[in-house]
Amino acid sequence: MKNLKENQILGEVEKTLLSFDNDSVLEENPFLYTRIKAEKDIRNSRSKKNFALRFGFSQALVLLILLINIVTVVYYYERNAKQNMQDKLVLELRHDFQIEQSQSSF
Amino acid sequence: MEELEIIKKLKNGDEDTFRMVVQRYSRMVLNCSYKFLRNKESAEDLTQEVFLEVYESVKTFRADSKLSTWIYRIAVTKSLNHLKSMKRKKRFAVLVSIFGKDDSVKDIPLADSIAPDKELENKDRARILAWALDKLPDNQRVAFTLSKYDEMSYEEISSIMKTSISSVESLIHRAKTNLKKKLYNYYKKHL
Repeated sequence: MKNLKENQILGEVEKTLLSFDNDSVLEENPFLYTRIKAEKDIRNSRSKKNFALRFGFSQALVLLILLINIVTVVYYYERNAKQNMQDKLVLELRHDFQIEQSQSSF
Repeated sequence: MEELEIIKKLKNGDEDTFRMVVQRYSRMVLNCSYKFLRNKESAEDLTQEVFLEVYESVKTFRADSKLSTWIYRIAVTKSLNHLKSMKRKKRFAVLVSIFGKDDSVKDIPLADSIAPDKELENKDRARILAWALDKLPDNQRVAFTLSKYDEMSYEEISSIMKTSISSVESLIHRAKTNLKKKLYNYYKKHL
């Protein structure tokens, strides 16, 4: 009984291993090339679109960076000019009212 | 047309040559993928992917092996990647089923008993073999599967796998031994 089962198991193992050899040969899809070409075209147009998008985005980014730089420079010069004017005014007032450096809280 | 000329034309993006390559090798790629995936639709989709890859990467192909070997290599790599992604999906499905949202893991392994009907029996055997193959390490699986593929010599397999002929022999031998062990244990449990 035990031997019978063992033989049955071994038989099934062999049959299962052989099942790999019994595969029929598949025939290729006659429209395979057309499908590939269509997919290729889709990918091409997608990559063109992506390129255009990336190009546009990089241009916008460069413009933004330039704008930030310009704003910073303008702001810096304006602030400097204001500061200079204030300093000048303080000096003039000091001179007009003859205030000593030590008496001034400016 | 000579192979080097074909490769040169492919690299230049020649459509007619590409069409010829697709026609010449598509059956080979389809059947090779099918041996790994055991599903016709997936094998057809993968064949398409393989030729798209051929078209896109032929510029980097250095022609140090035969064109057919290179195409086989792409097919094998893509098949293994596909199987890995299927495994990941199944693992996720298992998780989902554990948390009670879905029970879509029906197709994971195997039938519990051998069906009486002949066709069903063959399908069951194929599924059981696929399960056992799935448990093998990738290199053993590739070597064994390719060795079962129509008249592929050990030399060709070694070229596809970029390894020596003696390694291929040893991988196939180990794959057979492991498969027998796994199948034996399976049938011991289920017969």
